[in-house]
Amino acid sequence: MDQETTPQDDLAFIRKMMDGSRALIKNDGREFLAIGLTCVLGTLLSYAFAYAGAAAFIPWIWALFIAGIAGTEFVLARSKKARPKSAAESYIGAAWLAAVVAGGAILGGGALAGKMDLSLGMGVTSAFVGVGYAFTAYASRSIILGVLSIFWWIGALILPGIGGYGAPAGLAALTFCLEVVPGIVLALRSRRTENDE
Amino acid sequence: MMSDFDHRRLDEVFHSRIRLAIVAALVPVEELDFVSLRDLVGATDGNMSTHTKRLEEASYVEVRKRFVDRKPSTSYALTEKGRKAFASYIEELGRFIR
Repeated sequence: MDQETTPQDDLAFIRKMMDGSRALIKNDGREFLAIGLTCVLGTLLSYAFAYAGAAAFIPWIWALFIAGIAGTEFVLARSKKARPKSAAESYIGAAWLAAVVAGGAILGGGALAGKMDLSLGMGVTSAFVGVGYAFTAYASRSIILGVLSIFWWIGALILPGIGGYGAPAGLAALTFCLEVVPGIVLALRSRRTENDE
Repeated sequence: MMSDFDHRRLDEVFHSRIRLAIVAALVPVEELDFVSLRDLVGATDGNMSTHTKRLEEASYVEVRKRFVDRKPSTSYALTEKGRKAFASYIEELGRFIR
């Protein structure tokens, strides 16, 4: 080493550096809010369009919203405001992609075969969002996210039983409680931390 | 009391405090930009360049250059080799303490 130090000093120094860099990884709730608000709005619009007898427009609404989220993420990732990411976040991203592809395959396959009604579709969506949350909870060692994943699965059990247009409204309510509210909490906490610094 | 700790078994790349700090700071993150890393380590621009170059030569650190708002931006990430070397270094220190 440059100067005389003991292994204990080195380990304490290493820990200090790692803590400093870990502190830069902030979850400002941006993704939670973006995805949550988009899903709530998309689900409510789907409900409105289906109610008005214009269900054919629903896939286009979702395509537009998903493109909007992907575009926003792409721009933010390349902006100077992009935050440092933890190594675990790459795996979380891959897990979410797998959950979305698997859920999309079941929803798409079911719809093409004419075996997927609105209520069942909302239940399947809720189940796969729960899978995404469970992976995130495991990778980030978050008990809160683990609890939220259980609520998503409870939603998956209940939503298929709700007939008519109640299921999209139910999913919207679930998304608001389990995605938007945690996003707001994270955003407020992040702002408070920034003010303290 | 004599100890079985042999400093020659320690990776000489980590003999520099700044290089050790750079690698330790990169462990929890996917990558870190030059300014954040420099501020965290508390080194000068010149020192940072010298030591990151040494880490790059040892294939412990990977340099990622891109443009952000039309300005060049440099980030650093730990390679798999760097991660393993750091883990071995920690293990060696831990062996001495035990």
